[in-house]
Order: sequence, then structure tokens, then C-alpha cells
Amino acid sequence: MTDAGRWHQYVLTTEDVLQDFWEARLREPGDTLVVLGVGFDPRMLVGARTLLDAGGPGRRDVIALSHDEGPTSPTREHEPLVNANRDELRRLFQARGAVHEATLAMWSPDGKRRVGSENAYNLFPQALPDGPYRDLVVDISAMPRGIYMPLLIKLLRIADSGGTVQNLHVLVAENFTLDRQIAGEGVEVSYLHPFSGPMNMEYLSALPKVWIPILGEGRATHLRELHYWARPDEVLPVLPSPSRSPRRADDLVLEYHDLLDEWNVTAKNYLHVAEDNPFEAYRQLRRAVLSYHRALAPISSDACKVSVSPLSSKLVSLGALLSVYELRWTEKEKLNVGIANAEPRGYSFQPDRNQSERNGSARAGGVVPSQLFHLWIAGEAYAL
Amino acid sequence: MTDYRNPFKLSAAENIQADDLFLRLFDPTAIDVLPTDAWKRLQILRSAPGGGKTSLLRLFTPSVLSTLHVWRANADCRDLYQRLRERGVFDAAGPTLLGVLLDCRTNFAYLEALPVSSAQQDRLFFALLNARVLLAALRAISALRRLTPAEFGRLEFDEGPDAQGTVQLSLPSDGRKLYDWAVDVERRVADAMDSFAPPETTPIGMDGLVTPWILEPDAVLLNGHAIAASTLVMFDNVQELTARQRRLLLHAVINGRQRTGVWVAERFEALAAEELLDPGAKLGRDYDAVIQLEGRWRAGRGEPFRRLALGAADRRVQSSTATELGSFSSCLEDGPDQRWDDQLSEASEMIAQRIRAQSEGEERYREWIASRELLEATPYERAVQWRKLAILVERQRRKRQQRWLEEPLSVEELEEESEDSRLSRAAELFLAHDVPLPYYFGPKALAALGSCNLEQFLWLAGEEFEQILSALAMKRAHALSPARQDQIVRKCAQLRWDDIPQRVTEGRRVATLLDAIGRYARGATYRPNAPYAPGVTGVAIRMSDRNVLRRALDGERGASYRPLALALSDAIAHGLLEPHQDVKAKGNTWLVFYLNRLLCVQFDLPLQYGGFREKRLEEMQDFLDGQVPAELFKDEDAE
Repeated sequence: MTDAGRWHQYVLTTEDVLQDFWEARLREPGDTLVVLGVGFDPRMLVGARTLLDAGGPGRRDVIALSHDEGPTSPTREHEPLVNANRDELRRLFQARGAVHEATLAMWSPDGKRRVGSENAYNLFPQALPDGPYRDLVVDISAMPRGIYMPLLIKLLRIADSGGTVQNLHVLVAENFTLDRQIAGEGVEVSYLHPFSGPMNMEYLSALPKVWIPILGEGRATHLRELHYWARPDEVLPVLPSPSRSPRRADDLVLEYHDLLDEWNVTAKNYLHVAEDNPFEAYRQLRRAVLSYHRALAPISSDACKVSVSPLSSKLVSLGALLSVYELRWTEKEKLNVGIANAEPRGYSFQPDRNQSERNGSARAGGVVPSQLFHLWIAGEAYAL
Repeated sequence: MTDYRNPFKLSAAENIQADDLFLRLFDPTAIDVLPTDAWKRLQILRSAPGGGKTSLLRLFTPSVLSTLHVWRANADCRDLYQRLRERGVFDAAGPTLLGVLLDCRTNFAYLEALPVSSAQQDRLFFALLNARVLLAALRAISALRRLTPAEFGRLEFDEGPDAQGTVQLSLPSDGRKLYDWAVDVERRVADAMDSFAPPETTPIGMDGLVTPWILEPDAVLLNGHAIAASTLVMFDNVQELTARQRRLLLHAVINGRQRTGVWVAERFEALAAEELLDPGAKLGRDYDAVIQLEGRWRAGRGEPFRRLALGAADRRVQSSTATELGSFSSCLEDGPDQRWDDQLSEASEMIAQRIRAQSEGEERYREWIASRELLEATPYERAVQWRKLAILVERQRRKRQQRWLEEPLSVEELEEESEDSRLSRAAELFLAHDVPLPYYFGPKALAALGSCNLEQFLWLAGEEFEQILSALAMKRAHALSPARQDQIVRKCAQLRWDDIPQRVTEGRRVATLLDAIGRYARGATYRPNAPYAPGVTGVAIRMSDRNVLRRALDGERGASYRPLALALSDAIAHGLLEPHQDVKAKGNTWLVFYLNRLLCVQFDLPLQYGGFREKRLEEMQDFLDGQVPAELFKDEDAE
């Protein structure tokens, strides 16, 4: 296994560079397929608008993924917002390509088991429209973790196996103000599909277990449930540093000091990752997992089991996803790593009336606008 | 070495890694919930999260039993060892029981997502289950007999009585071959799950559960001798299986058990909503195999739980590396505090004035008032007696409105009425509410606040112990005052309340229902005549209405009650409501939903059970909508 890692060199753009990148790229001939989540989240169309604004020839097709949280989900209360977003999506793309809609059931028919990640993983390649598409862009801004993670894993596997995905990009609109207005309800914990295999093997159950929770605010219940689920021997909490707020890491330690105390976390256990660079998070997590494996491999060839739990921003979660994907799937020596995920049953959203994503009015209203990030994770950029 | 400054934080068995620490913290009375021959039979252990199931199961694993045997003379372990030895779990040489623990929080449920028929999914489930039971058994044997995996070949597995039905598992065999077989099955099933391609054409399914039965005591030999005198297979966290898999497992263990004991431990949430409202309905003849832990602890007015909880607390205090204290209860001040005297004297005077003002010019209460004015007692006693008198006067006034009674009341009548202990408790509650004074303090109250859930109790006790440690560090008196205890309990209650939306599946709906029940209970409790002394802490529906809710869940008639039935079952599953069935009152039988005792704090309610109000489903529906109609209280005035 190489120390540098697959995404040691990477493509990450934001702000003006992102706009310039897409204008230049879409100027060249080729069709683009956008996969995005349909929801109440005002960020749902930020990425799509950016791509359309970039112009260029070729079709711009869309797969719009709705997720059905069940008849009693609190998310149902926001259907007017969802419908408005869906209508706007159709309007935006009507002259540029086809909008294919698909719905993913998040729960088993008896309502007792979360099946969203399995359904998301199963969606492709069957649901891919006839291409070829030069670029496949997954906008995860309005997708829950249980959807975008297995979806990206599957698309990466298709891309890596020489399948129909040529260039795979991810867009994510981050907005911490909006994040605080969205609250989860109910919490379900599981190993995310398709990472459950090694984590659940009975014959590996005696291996030391390492758990890496990526800390975010207001997640005490999730952390407790995840810890109960992972039953770790060692806990390595991840703190955001550097961060836009220099005190954020300290505040997180203060917020969870009871739990961290309970789990015997000491200063040497903490990992620090940049909050706005997923590839930096990827590097740090990958290095930590490899260190544990190398240290424990002389005791047992299977070394240890490591589970990662992203509870912070989508950007850092993407970094976690890439590291776990690489360690589990693409290296010769497949390590026992997985993602232990805690997701709510549904979401309640209390929008700030001033917050609008449309036509830059957010900026005019003095509200913090979303910041769009673009990650190119497979394709020509890595061909050399 | 890990520094266990506050061992209360190690509340869950999962958080305690070392077996010796687990044993030091394990209170021996916990095994009282089990029949003496429990390890030879089928037992289904159920509770809300944190009820203590996993601790019980862990006790019977080989590494813990072996450690207990080593530590049998130690003061912390002697009692537990003796109890288990009397039950035949040990002989002079060591453990005689092979405890095999399989945690079902693994990926069994994913099998139902595979693109194969449900029959094939069932066969895969049994194959995986059999493989995992076998792997867990080999792990247990290696712990009990100190074998390394390389030595599994020395183990002989005889042909068990039910092993003929297996497809690929060939017996007799040796341990190494069985290990390889089980690892192969587990890997192949996992590959099928991760690839999501149709599983390979070679069938890897099995028709039923067989591996527990091939572990029968005389069927597994090492050097020609039986591994153990008895075998117990324990399935933990069965709520993580799908409903279909759980049914298959229960059916297999109910019908297939031989001489291997089998325990199934699950949270209430494993039960379908209709089972939560009617536990036992689907188990038929085996209902006596079910042990509902909270129910067992609640017997005898909660005395068994109180003993367990305070015993567990003492053990944690003794294990703390930050103090040499020996008892937790001695750290909690219990009883009225002298610092309240001024407030209490003022309160007595105010209550007396109110009673005098209300009865001005009436001869009827003259002797009653005079007797209290002459009472020689502590300020707290006096205040309580005045508060009792206020309630009794209010009751008399209501009677008088109905009956036009005018005769003066005698002191003897007052003393007779005052002897009612429920009235005393109501007066204490009202006094604490009026002044205000701390109410939730003392070891007994703390045990009650645990609501028969050990994890909840240890959390509360841990928060109080943290304060005790801080006081010790600052070289101050470490015993917690009633006021500080009350503050801590109220803070915890608020945290638990705020956590409901995140913790519970339909948290907001459940919180709305509980809030309405709590507000209603508070309204009914604090009526001036204390009609339900010491207070109302639950609501009840007729058992016949319970059936209406069950039908609503089945999609039959009364579908409009489905949200109510779901919210009630969610609240029960998470231990927020405690159902008591077949309670007789007013010529009917009732299903009572008591609030978790910690939630009672949110509404200033007492902690005793027994006070409930009967409600129609329409009224419960109002609660679900967050409404507490004023008519409810008018109805009570009329009663």
C-alpha cells in the first residue's frame, strides 16, 4: 500500500475558480448528467444553477432523487417546499435536457429497518440513462448521508471498473447557518451499506476496535448511540482545525467533555482536520487507519477493525468516505474499515425568512450565503 | 491503567472492558430476576434500553465466570460467587457452564435486501446464524478451556440430536473443521451482501437452527471429556433482526430446544406496536418464559430495584480512584434541612392565615385550627400539618356544598383524617411546590427516579457523584444538600426531556403526547382538595379500548387512532411510558400508562405509583394533539 494515497493530488475548487472551471470544461463538447437530491433544502439547486450558468454545448440531463422517509416522517411537513424546488428544477432544465425522477424508500415496508443505503447502492448502473456522458456530477447538497455515501461508492466502483462513468464530480453547497435550522428527529444507527461486511464478521469479533467519530455540534445522542453500536476499544475523535472559528475545536471538546471522559479519551487521541478541505480529512484519516493496522498487524493478520462516524459537515464526511473507500476497496490489502452512521428518521426545518438562495438575494439580505465546493474524484484528472 | 474517577459513567456493561471491574461493579441481587434453573431453559429477557439485559448475559460468559472463580474469595465477589455456586454454575474446579453469547447487532437484517426469494433469504439467515453461533461457541470454549484457535482440532463434536437436518454441516467433526466451515459460510454470505449481485448458485442456505443443539453438554469433548456440564446460548440485541428473522429465531428456539439453554434478550422496540400494547399475545404457551426486567424490579413497591440500584451505586463509589468513600447513600442528605426553617415558619403562618380567612366566622373548623396552633413540632412538621389541614378543610368545604353539613369538627376527626399517609405525601408535595422547597432528594427518591431502569439510575447518580467529587476536591463537606440534589435531578430531567425528539423515532409527536399527559396530571394533582393524593402520574384506558388501538394498528376499524397507538407504543418502547396491564378500578380493568418517573419531575409530580385517571380514547386523542381541555378538570370536580 502506498503512503501517498490515491487522492494525494486532487482537484478541489470553490468560489470564482469553481465558476471558471465549469465554464472552461463545459465549453468543450460532451453531455453532462447531474444527479441531485430533491428536498426542502434551499441548497438543492445551487449546484445545478451554477452548471447551467456555465453554458456550453451538449445535453444537461438530470436524475432527481427523492427519498421517502415514510408516512409519518416529520419531513412530510415540508412538502410545499419540496414541490416548489422540484417545479423550479423542471423549469430550469426544460430546454437543456431530460429530468428523470426516482424515489428511494428509506425504510422497509414494516417501517422498522432503514434500507435507504441499500436502495441507493442498488440504484446504479440500472438507473443511468443511455449516455455516454462525459461528466457525471453528483450534487449532494440536499441528500442525506445514508444516500450520497453508498451512491458515490457505487459510482466510484463503476468508474474504477471501466464502466459507464467517465468523470465523476461532486458538488456540495455548505452553509452552517442553514445547517443549524435543520434538526433531525429520531436516530437510527447502522453500518452503512456496503461497508457492513468486515465490521459484522463474527470470526473477526475478537479484533481490537477503533472508532473515529468526526465531531460536529449538537450530536450527543448520536455519539452515545454510535459508541454503543461500535463498542470500541479505542476512540479517536476528529476535531475541525483549522476552522473558520478558531475556537470551534475547543468548544466541541467542552460540549462533549462528559462523553470523552467516559470513553477515556486523552489528548493524544485527537485528530485534527481542516474543516473546508475534504482531501485533507481524507489524508489524515487514511494515515490514522494505516498506522493502527501497521501497529497491530504483527499480532493478527487482520490487525483491527476501524469504523468512522461522520457527524460534521458534508465536506469532511466526503473526506471520510474517500479514505474508507480506498482502504476497503481499491487497495490490494483490503482493510477492515466501515462507516458507522447515525441518521434521523426525518427532519424539521425552520427557515430563516431572510434566507434565500435565489438570485443572490441572500447576499443582498445580509445572510450568510451557501458556499459551493466542487470535488473531481475520478476520471481524466487522475489518468496520468 | 485507566483512571475510574467516576465509575458511574461506566453505566453500560459495554463500557466496562475489564472483567474484574465488571464483577466489582455488578450487584449480586441482579440475578434475583432469574429462575434458579434459568440456564437450562428458554428465557426471553425484555426491557427498555438500559434495563440491564446485556450485563446479565455478560455475567454468564466464560471469561467473566472464570475471573469470578479466581476472585471468589474477594469481598466484592464472594456473594455473587456463592449465589451462582448454589445454582450449580460452579463446582470446586471452576465454571460448569459454557455460556455462548451472540450479539445480533450485526448485518443479519441486510439479508432481506438481497434479490432472492424470501425462502432463500430465510435459508441464508439460518446459515449465517448457525455459522455465527458456532464461531461464538468456539470463542467461548477457547476462553473456558484456554485453547488457541490452532488447537480447535482437539475438540470433538459428536452428532447432536437435531444435526441431521443440516445441509452442509457434516458431523461428527473436529473443532478446526467446524471453524473453517463457519468462517467460509460467513465470508460467502458477506460477499453476497456486499456485491449485491445474485448470490452464487451453490446453495449456502440451511433449513433451520441447529448449532445450539450440537453444543449440548456431552456432545462437545476435549480429550474425551465434556467441555461443560451445561450449555447456554444467549442471543443479545434481537431487536436488530428484521421482524421475519425474529419470528424465525423465536420459533426455532421455542420448538427446537433440547438440553441447551437458550436466552433471547431484546429491547421492547423488537415488539410490533400491537405487541407492546398487548405483550405476550403472540407467545402463547411460552409466555412464562418472558422476563420483563422493569416489571420484576417493580414488584414489592420497587424494593428489589431500590436494593439493586443502591447496591450498584455503593460498588461504584467504592471503585472510584478519587475517593475512599464506602457508601453512596451516606453522601446524600435526606430529610428537611435546618436552612429551610425561616421559610417554613413563614409558610406555616401563610397557610394558617389563609385557612383562617377562608373559615372566618365559622365554628366548624375552630377546633382543628386551634389544635394546629398549639402543635409542638419542628418547623417542617408544623408546615406539613398546616398544609394537611388546608387540604382537609378544602375537602370539608366541598362536602359541605353537597350536604349542607354544619356541625363543628372535632380534633379526633382531624387526627383520624391526618393519619392517611397519602395525605401526608400530598401535603409534602404541595408544601414543596408552594414555598418552594427541594422535593427530589435522598437515596429513596433517587432510586425511584431510576424508573426501574439501571442505566437511568446510574446516570442520575453519576451526576450527583460528580458534585460529591468536586466538593471533596475543594475540601468542602461532600454530602449533597437536598437543594443541590433537587437541582441536579431537575437539570437531568430537562436534558432527558429535550432529548426525546432525537432519541425517539417519532419524537416530536411522542413529546407532545407526554407533555399533554404531564400537564393534565399536574392539573389533577394540584387541585386544592388533593383528590388523588399524593398525585396523578399516569392515565389509563379500558382494556377493551386497548383492543381498539390494536385493531387500528392492524389497519382494521378505528384507523384514526393509529397515530395514537403508534405514539403510545413508541413511548413504551423507549421507556417513557410504563404500561401496567389489567389494573382493576371502578368495576373495570384498565391499561395504565404511567409516566417514566424522571419525566414526573418536569411536571412537579410525586414519584409514587397508583395515582392514575381513566380516559376515553377521544380524550387520549386530544392529548396527542397537545390539548388538555378544561372540561377534563370539570369532570373531576363532579366526581
